Amino acid sequence: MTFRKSFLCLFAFVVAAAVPVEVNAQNDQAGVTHAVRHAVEEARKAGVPDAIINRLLANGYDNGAEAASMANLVGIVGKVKKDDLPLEPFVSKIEEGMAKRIPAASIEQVLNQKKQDYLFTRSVTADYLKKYGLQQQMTPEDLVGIAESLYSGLSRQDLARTVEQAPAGSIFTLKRVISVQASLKRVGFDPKLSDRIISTALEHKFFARQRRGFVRALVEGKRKGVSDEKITEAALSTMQNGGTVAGFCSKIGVSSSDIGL
Amino acid sequence: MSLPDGNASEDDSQLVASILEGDVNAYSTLVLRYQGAIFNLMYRMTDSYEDAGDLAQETFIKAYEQLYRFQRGKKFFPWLYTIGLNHARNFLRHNKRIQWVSLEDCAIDSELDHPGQQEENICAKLDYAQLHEALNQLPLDYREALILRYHEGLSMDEVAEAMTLKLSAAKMRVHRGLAKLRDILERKQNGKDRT
Amino acid sequence: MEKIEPEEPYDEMADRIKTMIRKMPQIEPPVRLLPAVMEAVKAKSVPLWLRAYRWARSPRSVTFSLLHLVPAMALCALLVCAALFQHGRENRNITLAESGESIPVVLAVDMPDAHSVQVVGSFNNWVPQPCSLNKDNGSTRWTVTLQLQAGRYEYAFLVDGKHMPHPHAEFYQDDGFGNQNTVLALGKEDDI
Repeated sequence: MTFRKSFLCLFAFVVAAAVPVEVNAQNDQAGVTHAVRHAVEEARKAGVPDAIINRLLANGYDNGAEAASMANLVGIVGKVKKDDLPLEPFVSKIEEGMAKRIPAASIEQVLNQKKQDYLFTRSVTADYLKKYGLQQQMTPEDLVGIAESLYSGLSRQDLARTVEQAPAGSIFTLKRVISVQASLKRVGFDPKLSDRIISTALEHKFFARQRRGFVRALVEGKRKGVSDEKITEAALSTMQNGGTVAGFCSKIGVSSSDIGL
Repeated sequence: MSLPDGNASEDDSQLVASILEGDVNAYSTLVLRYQGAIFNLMYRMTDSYEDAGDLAQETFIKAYEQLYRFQRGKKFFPWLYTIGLNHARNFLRHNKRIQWVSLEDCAIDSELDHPGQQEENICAKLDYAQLHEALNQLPLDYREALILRYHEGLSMDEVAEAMTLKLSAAKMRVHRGLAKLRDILERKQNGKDRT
Repeated sequence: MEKIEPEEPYDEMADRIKTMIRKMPQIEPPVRLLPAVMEAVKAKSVPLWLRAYRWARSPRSVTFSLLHLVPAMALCALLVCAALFQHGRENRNITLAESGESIPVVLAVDMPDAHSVQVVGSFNNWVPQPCSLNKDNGSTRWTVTLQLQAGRYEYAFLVDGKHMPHPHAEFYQDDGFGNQNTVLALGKEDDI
């Protein structure tokens, strides 16, 4: 019986029964299947739901993953749960990596990096909440939204600086500020001018309400070749005078249809 | 019991529009039109008349609930089939009847290099019972791809859509399914000839 | 342009099998199937206001394209925003957050030279989902309709198997594997 078939049996048991796995102890492959079983048991002990474990294993099966790789990936998910981090971004990243045929070792590397990023994010935002005595707790969704900005253009230093300099406010506003900062950095907007836009927005509570299309307009303006200075001037004017996004668009030569408004 | 022809496709869209406007009774036409195909899909998946009836019923009810998502101008059957196939898979998963047959485990070693005499024998002796049994031995994806393509008469694009596959993957399943089916039938026939 | 497949040599055996599959007798469904379905769906009859609401919310297109947007597309874009970003409506009977209903999203991309286009994303566990080809008014548009709950999603297209983020979307994210995904955010915090 090949290693692959014994691994497939393992999948079938775990997915079908969601009960402690029966190890198909095949001679030289026993160590590997034991590793998968051990990883699954540890993940369960850490509190990873069976539905997630089954999803991972089924995904691994569908994509022809090797048992040793699955053991490692399940192990990482177990550690993520132990650190009380949200699981979905990690599970989704595994699924994404497999769908894109990324080598397992690279997926593991990305996951480990991600775990560190999430821990870092949680740490800097905890400081923010503590600093302003905010009673509000950060939800898992909030943490995901902020942590993922690290893949949208912000470095850890950028994130730490943005959070540190953010005035007292809600998590909602903090997330928007970070999101704007990330979008502007991604398109290479002048950092000093970005800071001016954000600080003015905060001063005028511009982000406290929905401003549908504002950043899209800004990014589209940059794509059309409007200078950062002109965009900044138009943005500041809009915010200071209580203007609308449509008004901002017309100042920088962006049409509403360009940004889907 | 093959599917209706091309004109029915327009008719299906009109029926869906009527149903969405409130004519619930129009749904019975769609059910009548496709209940055979969906019921047989469920029977192939479960091998149980009782379960097949329940699953087919649930599929049509699910499709009704999601009817407003149906994209106008598209063909109804592939959309309905996708709902049915997913529903059946969920059922099998929850009832611990997973058909974990790996495609890679089905060695395709039989392609097109059979002696002509063997082919003649098989052609002459093939009957529906053998075919049915052989189809049941195929991996689910291969079997359904063949049924959709040759029994329900869907185009390859429609097969891909119904099975939520890339066109190339759907073609692969039909091609390999046919080769594997032939292999199974030949082995059965060889086994019989020896006895 | 449609790919022309080379003709395969005639294979009698394969042909016979195909014919038999086509003519294969099927089992008749239970007589109770139709009445049971109709009884169930009639019990689920949708009230008029909800039917009108669903009709108004039926799928619209979100299109990112280099092509100049003609008025019809601008109208689509407006309708997209009405469907996707439902903010500030005074007299809504239902909010998406309250009802938990999913948001219809149509992703569309112009790829005239592609043979196949699929979408992969966190909304479908990165399982490739085929896009449909629509050829209207000289454009070759690939579309897929999704029903999504409010939230944040990452996705990309597979164009002839090759990964590609949605062109001219506004929000991208590194996937950690050397590619970029498009970010789609739906719901009350969805837009900036």
